[in-house]
This record gives sequence, structure tokens and C-alpha cells, in this order.
Amino acid sequence: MVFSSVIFLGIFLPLSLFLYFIIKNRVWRNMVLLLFSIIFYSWGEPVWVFAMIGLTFLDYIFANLMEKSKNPTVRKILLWVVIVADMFLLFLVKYYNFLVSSFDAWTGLKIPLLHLTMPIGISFFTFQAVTYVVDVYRENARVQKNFFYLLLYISMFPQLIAGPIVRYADIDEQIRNREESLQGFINGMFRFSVGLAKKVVFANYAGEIATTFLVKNLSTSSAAAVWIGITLYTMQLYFDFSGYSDMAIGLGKVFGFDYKENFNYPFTSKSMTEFWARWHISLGTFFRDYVYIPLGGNRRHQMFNLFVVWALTGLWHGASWNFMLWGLYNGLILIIEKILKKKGYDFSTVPVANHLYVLMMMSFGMTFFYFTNLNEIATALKIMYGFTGKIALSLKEQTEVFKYFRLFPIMILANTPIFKNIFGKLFKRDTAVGNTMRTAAFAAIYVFAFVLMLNQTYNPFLYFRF
Amino acid sequence: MKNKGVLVLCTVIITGFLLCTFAITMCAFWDTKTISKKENRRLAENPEFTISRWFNGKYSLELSSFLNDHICGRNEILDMASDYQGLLKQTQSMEIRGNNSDNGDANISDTLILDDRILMLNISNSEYNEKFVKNANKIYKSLPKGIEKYLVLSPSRVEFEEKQFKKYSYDQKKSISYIYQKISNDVTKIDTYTYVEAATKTYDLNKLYFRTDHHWTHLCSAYAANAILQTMGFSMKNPENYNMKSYGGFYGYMYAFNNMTDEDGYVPDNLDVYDIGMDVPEEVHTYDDNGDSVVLNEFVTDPSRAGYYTFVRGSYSHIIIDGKNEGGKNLLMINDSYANTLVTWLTEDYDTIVMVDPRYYKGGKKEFDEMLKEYDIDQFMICLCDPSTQMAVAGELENFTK
Repeated sequence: MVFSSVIFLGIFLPLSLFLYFIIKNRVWRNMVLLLFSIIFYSWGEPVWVFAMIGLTFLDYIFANLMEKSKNPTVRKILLWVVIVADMFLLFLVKYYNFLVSSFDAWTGLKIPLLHLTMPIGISFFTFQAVTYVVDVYRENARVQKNFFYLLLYISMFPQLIAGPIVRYADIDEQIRNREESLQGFINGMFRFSVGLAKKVVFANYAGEIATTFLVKNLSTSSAAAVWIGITLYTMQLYFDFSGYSDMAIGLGKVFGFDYKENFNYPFTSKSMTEFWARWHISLGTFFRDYVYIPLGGNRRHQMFNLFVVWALTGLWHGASWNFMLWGLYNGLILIIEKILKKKGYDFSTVPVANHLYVLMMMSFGMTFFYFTNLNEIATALKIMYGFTGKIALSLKEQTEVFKYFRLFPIMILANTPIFKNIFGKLFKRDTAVGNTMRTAAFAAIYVFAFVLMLNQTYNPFLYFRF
Repeated sequence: MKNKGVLVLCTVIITGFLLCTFAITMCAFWDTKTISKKENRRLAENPEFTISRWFNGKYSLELSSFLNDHICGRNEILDMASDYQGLLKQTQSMEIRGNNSDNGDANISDTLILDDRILMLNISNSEYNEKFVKNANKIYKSLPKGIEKYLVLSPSRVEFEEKQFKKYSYDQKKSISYIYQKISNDVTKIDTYTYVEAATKTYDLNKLYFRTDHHWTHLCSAYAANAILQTMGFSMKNPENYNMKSYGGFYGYMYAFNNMTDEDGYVPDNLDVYDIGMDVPEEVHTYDDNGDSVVLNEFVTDPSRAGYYTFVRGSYSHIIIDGKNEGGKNLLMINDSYANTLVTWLTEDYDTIVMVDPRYYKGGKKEFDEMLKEYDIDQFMICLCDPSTQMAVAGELENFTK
């Protein structure tokens, strides 16, 4: 089930809120949330939901065994066994075919492929499971004695299929003790409506134009159209992903949870290093804390560690060479930025140019991210750099661009904190005026987004491969 | 204290919105509509729940479609949505819309939207063009001896538009001339282009081609028919000598295809029908859902509803027309919908005319040969608008040869 759908907004959300809030008991509230989370996931993945439950059970058992064992070696073995087990499922459904087909292509062998569909959100919940066992091993979090609570942490519907990746240590206490409030409900629903609008209004329309230029007419597109297409795809990805994160954080607030921010206006960054510190923060910090630092971090083999992290980041986004290329491209840029900075060349201090640089580098990298086929990447780059001779927008391309043209300035502003700052200054949070305005804004945005959503034929779910 | 009251009130308002959404969604289960007139499509049905359908994911997908289609006030919500979308759009005096929709008509290319008319654009497609030549030659070659062979390719509206619009399409005159050269010498090629071009000097283009549809008018087709009849040795009365009935309010296919609405401000076309005295076609053949050939009996006959389909009741696999010249020749045409108006002018001079539309014909060479025999065909003609030679129709001609 996706948030931007009639079934979610019209039935699932009102029903889950109603049943949740008519119950006063914390344990039963958690059970309602768990029940709805399982329904939410099984709506799209009626079979794989059992795999998710099984994986959680495994983590539950091993974490409890780890806690009971005082022997560090045994604890370490238990940790690695459960991590390998967690990753094995992810490997089978996401990476096995990629590795085997690449191996077959090199060696000429014909090792059979697996015909498994990849469960939605598997990368998110697997990583959450890993944070749980590692945090218990590191004694950063208490072991969860109640299996259903652990399952609730893994399967919680607001962030299950599109993140943010929530760490167990951050939420452990909130599962047991949290406080829902009217203020949280208002703030949460307002945040949810903002996320919904980002998805339905910005992401879907940007994506619709991008798809026209990049998929349907790529071979006949002009350079300007492909640049616009790639930029709009970047916008689509940002608004879609940050919109989902907003919806998740908002729903979390409604249910009394406090999730960490996942995006922090990345397009206001002055360098790519800063950009990646502001984009999908939960994934960045996961790799920092669970891969980069254990590998040695800044202390030893820093460049190598960065390459490993970015290769893994690329692969996390999808099992194909284009994602690997995309990851390595970003890793390389970050390494170059670090080297230049060490030598005293810091381009992030050059006004305007620094923002343009980030946008250009990000958009260029998106070419590797968008096209999963290396031939298509080559075609797109050829067009983008004018080798096909078509530079300016044709009338047909202009028609596509103008279709939602008035949205573009708003979209650009929405990439900056300007709306948030103005709204925050005019209507102070948690005051009578602030709440009234937030409610009015919720109503306007919610109705606008819901109406547009019903008429949209283009409402993709971008996270199917994550 | 003041804020507490506001908090409660705001919570009630937000809950109210959620409840409204819940109520309008749940109404779907009581909605009995099966068809959306507004969207001209069948609405999704409430799916049956079974364990197997749940586990294969069909139930959830179908229920989502059902709720989308039956939500209370759907038509009003769609109207609101198009108003909202209008707010986002930057108006242009000229647009080219691509045929990108997944359910796009394979026979329509891009469309040029102007303030007062919509033009079907075509891109020259050498692959289809060559296919057309190859398949047409094959059909002509396979015909029994004694059957006269004709080829008629006629221009569409964009060919006679001003340069600034014409440049978005290909050169049809050149294309027709190229194909005529490539088609076997024993085939008589009829030059309708010159006749239609001459008509454009006399009449406003809007009288010869529709503004909201991609077809020519009954009047324009008369000029093409004149070219054909003269080649065949017949003479034709001036169309002005016939009684003409004009039906207003005709919005054509291009209008619907581009999802135009009243708010786009288009003045509808007039559907001018000359009273030649042609009866309803004797037999209209089509196929049922199982792919079996059937004869149709019921048609929309009111021109204000049937629109361009007024002329031979629509495009079907094959239509048998009883001409007025008893004992005259029998003609079989492989045609597209441009011939639907044109054929009416031929009925006076033929005994029987068989119209076969390759887009709907599901038979093969065997059935085609049987048709030639059954109707004792004397003359065979491929009669299309030139853009059809750049489209899938060119490939569909192959069905007549295998």
C-alpha cells in the first residue's frame, strides 16, 4: 500500500487512527499499530510479509541469546550469524541474479537465475534489523523481550517501505513509553499533508515530464530536453523521497513517535560532501556508523573506506552496474573535494557557483542513476552534450515543459527552507495562531493533493528496487 | 487555556477531514455505476475476495482500482482536478501534444493544437512506407486476372496548412509521388491530390477538413471521388447540386483524443451531409468478442451522435454497399476511414462496393480471395489517406497476402 492512494487515505488511515485512539492502553495501542502495519505490508506483499516476520523472529532469538551470553567470542559469533542470515535474504532477492548474470556474462557459464520478486522495502527493514542486533551487541540498546514490540519496530507502517531507516536505539524507549498529544496530532497531520503534496504535486508532475523526455522519446529528444528531464527526475526523486519521509515523520508524530529528519534541504548545499550529509540522512549515518567507522573511518585508509561506502550505497539503491557506477562517481567526487580542501582549494566558498556546481554534479550523476542500461546512459550523454545536433527544445518538448510550467518556481522555492522559515516566523509553532494556520494549511493542501491524486495516471512507486 | 481550546477545535477539524475522506471512499461500495460517460470507459468492478486472489496480489490491486473509480463525487472531483491542473499550466498559442499515453491510438501520431483547430501530424516513417509498397504490390500481384487495379492516396489537412504549421508534418505530395512510382505499372494511380488542392482554392480549408477531427468533410471527399470517377469513365454532378443538411455541434475524434473540454473554448464543427440518396449499407461485418465474424444490425443513425460515422455507420472489418447501378461493376476497396465519406459519391455508378478496413480485418488471403469471388469483383482499389502509409496500417496489409 502506498500513502498517495485512495485506499490508504480513504480507509486505512482513518480506520487505523480511530482504532488506535479509542484504546487507552499502551500495550493494546501498540498491538493495533502492529496489526495495521502487518496489513499495510501484506496489502502489497501478501507472501513476503511472512519472510519479514521470520527475519524479525531470528533477530529476536539471536539478540536474546547475545544478551544472555557473557562470552565476547560467542556474542561476536552470534552477531555475525544473525547479520549473515539477515543479509542472506536480501542477497537472494536483490543481488543473486545480478551477480550470477554478471558472472555468466564474463565466464560464459549458465548458472540458473532465481525467479523471485523483490519484496518492497526489504533494504529498509533489513537495515533496521541489522541496527537492532548491532546496537544490542554494542550495548547501545536494550534487548527487546517482547517479540511483538520488535516486530512493531521492524514493520511500523509509517516508515516501513520508504524509510527513514530508524535505529532501534532511537525508538526503543518510545515503543514502551511515549505520549500522544493533540499538538502532536496537529503537527503530524500538517507534516503528513506537506509530504503528500510534495509527492502528488511536485514529484508526480516533475516525473511525468521527465519520463516523456527520458523514456518515451529519448532517441529524438534535444539536449535541452534531456537536461530538463534529468533535472526534473532529480526533483522527482527528491520530492518523492523527502515527501515520503515527511509523511512518515508526520504519521510518527501522530502516533507519538519522534523520528529523526531524513532530508535537510540538500539543494541548498555548497558542496557535494554537504549535499550527501543532507540527503537521505538515515542511510548516510547508517553507513557511517556501521561500515565507515568500523573500517577505520578517517583514521586509516580513509579514501578506501569512502570508496567501499559509496560502492555499497550504489548497490543499496539497486542491483545493477549503473548504480555501482553512480555510487563510485559520488565517492570519487567526495574524495576529490576532500583532497582539494586539504590543499586549500575550497570551492564551496564561491557564491552562486557553488550551488550551480552541486546541481550540475548531482544532475549529471542522476544520468547513471536513472538509466539502468549502459547503452541508454551513452545515448543520453551523447544527446546532453550536443553530439546529435539537436540542442534547443522542439515545439513538442516546449508543450510538455509548459504543461506544468507555473509549478517550477514553486518547486525551486520548495527546495529551500524559505516556506518553512516564513511560515514558522509568522505563525509560531504550538501557539493558538500557529495551530489555526497549520490546520487551515492542512485542509487546503490535503484537499488539493487528494483531488489531483485522483486524476493522476502517473503515480509511480519509486522504491520498488530499494 | 486559549490554545487548548484551539487545539481541540483544530483536532476536530482535521478529524472531520479524515472522516469525510473515509465517508466518500466507503460510498464506493454502494455505487452501482458500471460505466463512466465522462471518461468514456468501463469502471472497475468490486473484486471478489478469495484467499488465492489475496495471495497473488490481484485482490488488493483490483480493490484499489475499484475505490478509485467509484469514490463518491468522482466526476466533480475530476472537474476540480482539471481546474487545479489548469492553474499549473502556462497557456501557449500553439502546442504539439505527443501520443504518449499507454492507451494511445496507434494510428494517431502527434497532434498540433492551435487556437481554433487540432491537426494530426505525421512523421515520415520509411519502414512503414517500404512495407506499404511491398505489401500493396504483393496484393496487386496476387489478384486474379481480369480485375482492374487502382491506387488512391489522398492528402490530409495539414498538407494544405500554412508553412509554419505544415513544417511539423512530412511532405505528403512527395510521399504520394514516391509511392506511385514504386507501385507496379499495371496499377492505375489516381491523382486525387490535384483535385483536392484545386478545391482549397475555392473553399475555406475549414469547409474541406474538420477542425476538431482528423478526417476530410463530405464536400472534400467529393473532389477526390470526382478524380476517381473520371478515371473510371464516369461523370459526377457538382456536390452543390445535392441537398445538404448541416448538423451543428460536432466535436471530432481529435478533440476527444486530446481530452479537450468546453473550457478549451473550441467552436464545434458542422457536419455537412449531402443527400446522395445512399441507403444504409447492406451488410456490416465485424467480429464478436470471441473473434468470430458477425453481421451487425444495429447502428447509431442520428448524425448529431454518430458524427463522422454517419456516412457508412463506422469503420468495420468489411462493409457491403448496395450501389444504384444494377448490372454495373463491382468494386472492392481496401481502405481507411477517409473512404467512408468518399464511397458515398461512388454508389451511383457501381452495383456493389465492398469496403475492407485493414485495421479491423482479421481474415487472411483465403478469406480475401473468397470475397473477390463471392462479390464477383471487377475492380480493386487501395484507397487511403497518405498518412496511413506511414503507420501501422501499412503493415496490416500483409494480412491479405498470407
